Amino acid sequence: MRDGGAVTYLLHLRCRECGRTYAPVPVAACDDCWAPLEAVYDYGALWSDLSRGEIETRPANMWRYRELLPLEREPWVGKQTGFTPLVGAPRLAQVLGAREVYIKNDAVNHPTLSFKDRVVAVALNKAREFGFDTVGCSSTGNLANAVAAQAAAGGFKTFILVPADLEPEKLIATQIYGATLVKISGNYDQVNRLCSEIAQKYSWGIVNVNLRSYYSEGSKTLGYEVAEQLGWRLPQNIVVPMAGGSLITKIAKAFDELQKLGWVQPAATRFFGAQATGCSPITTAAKSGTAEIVPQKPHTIAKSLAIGNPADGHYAVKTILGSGGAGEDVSDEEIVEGIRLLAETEGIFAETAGGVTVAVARKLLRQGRLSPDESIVLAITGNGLKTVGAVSGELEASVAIRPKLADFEERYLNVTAVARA
Amino acid sequence: MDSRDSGPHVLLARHPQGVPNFLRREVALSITVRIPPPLRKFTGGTETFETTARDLKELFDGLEQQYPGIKQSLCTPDGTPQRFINIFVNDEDIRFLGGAQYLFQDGDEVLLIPAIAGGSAEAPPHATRPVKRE
Repeated sequence: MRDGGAVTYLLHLRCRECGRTYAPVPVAACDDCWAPLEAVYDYGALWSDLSRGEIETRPANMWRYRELLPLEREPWVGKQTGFTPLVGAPRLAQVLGAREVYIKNDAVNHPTLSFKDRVVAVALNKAREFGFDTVGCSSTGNLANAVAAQAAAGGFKTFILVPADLEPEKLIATQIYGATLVKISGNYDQVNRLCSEIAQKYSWGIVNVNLRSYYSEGSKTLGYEVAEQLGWRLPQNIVVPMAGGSLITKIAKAFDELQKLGWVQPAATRFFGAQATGCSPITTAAKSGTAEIVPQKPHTIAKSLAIGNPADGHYAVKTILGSGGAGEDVSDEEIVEGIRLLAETEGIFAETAGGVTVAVARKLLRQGRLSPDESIVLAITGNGLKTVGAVSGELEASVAIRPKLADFEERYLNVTAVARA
Repeated sequence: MDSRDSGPHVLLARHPQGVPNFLRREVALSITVRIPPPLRKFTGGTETFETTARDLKELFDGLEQQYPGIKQSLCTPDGTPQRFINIFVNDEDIRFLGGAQYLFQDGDEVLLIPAIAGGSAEAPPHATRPVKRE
């Protein structure tokens, strides 16, 4: 950091299609071709000013990589977000028949238990830089929770648009923060369309619309952390759940940047994208070898991934196919099995998206498309307590017993009265 | 049933294969296209466009005739919509209605929305610019 800390390495935003550049303002799409804009940094200056050693001395949160994020001032909300555990998962690996499996556990991210805390922390700091007093989003749940919580802490007025059929936990965990929750009778894609119309009319900071170019950069920190936690090494494979498709592309960007800065040895990580079969526009395209997305009407228990018209689907497929990875999807039954498998082997209770990731990894290993002898990171992006309804019916209903040792032994240890005597 | 879902003109519009062209021309459709902010530079700020286009191709051509230069922002030269534009008819993505094959019905409202919509090159008026790195 230099003089007062008001330092940025962000140069400009650049259109991903035509290359036109834009000053860092609240705009998400190119005026000419409507394509998304990508934050571009001064990597030469970063290379000379910053080192791994410097990063390692900093507090354990996502802002240890602050210079690689698009803020132009010091962060003031979400200051404790990120640097979630990377957990070695030997018991899961054994069941999967793999050698080296890690869980990147964003189910315990601060403050709202999903990876969305990362993107929202960047978006709301940026909203403040731009002078917005009102923020909002369209969401499948986790983003709603993250925006509501961090906007409360930041003192923003907040409008949050969600499909009305979201899990009750996610609705409550939005309203509790005092956000205006706007329930829409429709699916996410319809909610998102309305949100886009609102963003066009009102001068608000909509995190996944006009702040999107900044917001999405927050996802890179998951990638930086995985590399640092592996001892500044890139994994050979990573399995990432996909909704809008942004996260997987941003982890790829993070890995590229780390190689550019010389902080990791060059490595060709294979990216595997995971979806629910009931909403699989990205994996369907990847399987047919095309980056052209055909939208779908979602029907899956994995509501956090239920985006039928994914904004970054095109780039997600390119990331997957360009890395030599694959896209795969799983049924609702397999999703529940995935949640249980992760919980029972590693003690981590993931939401439905985590079940998708684990089940897809198992499917890819069985198909021989993931190599069991290579390192595999599973991105677990949300907490199981937010989607308990997806698994509650699967668990045995326990019957109350009297507070008697005999009752306990008889019911749980199969010890009968005769045997005891 | 919605009133615009019935009536002979709609039946003709829906089933054009068996209808002679001279009859099709009798069909007087009126549809409204809402122009999003990024495209208003072509329309001089106008927010809506009324047209009698029967399908997407005619809609694009009609817009181009009225507002020269707008078409290349909307579709490729062969009429395929740009990848980053979503086109909604009333509340439905046109791709679920048949895409280029969809025949507009009287009263349809067409929304053109960037896949990643919104934003402007202007910050809010009260925004202050932070200090840039030297």
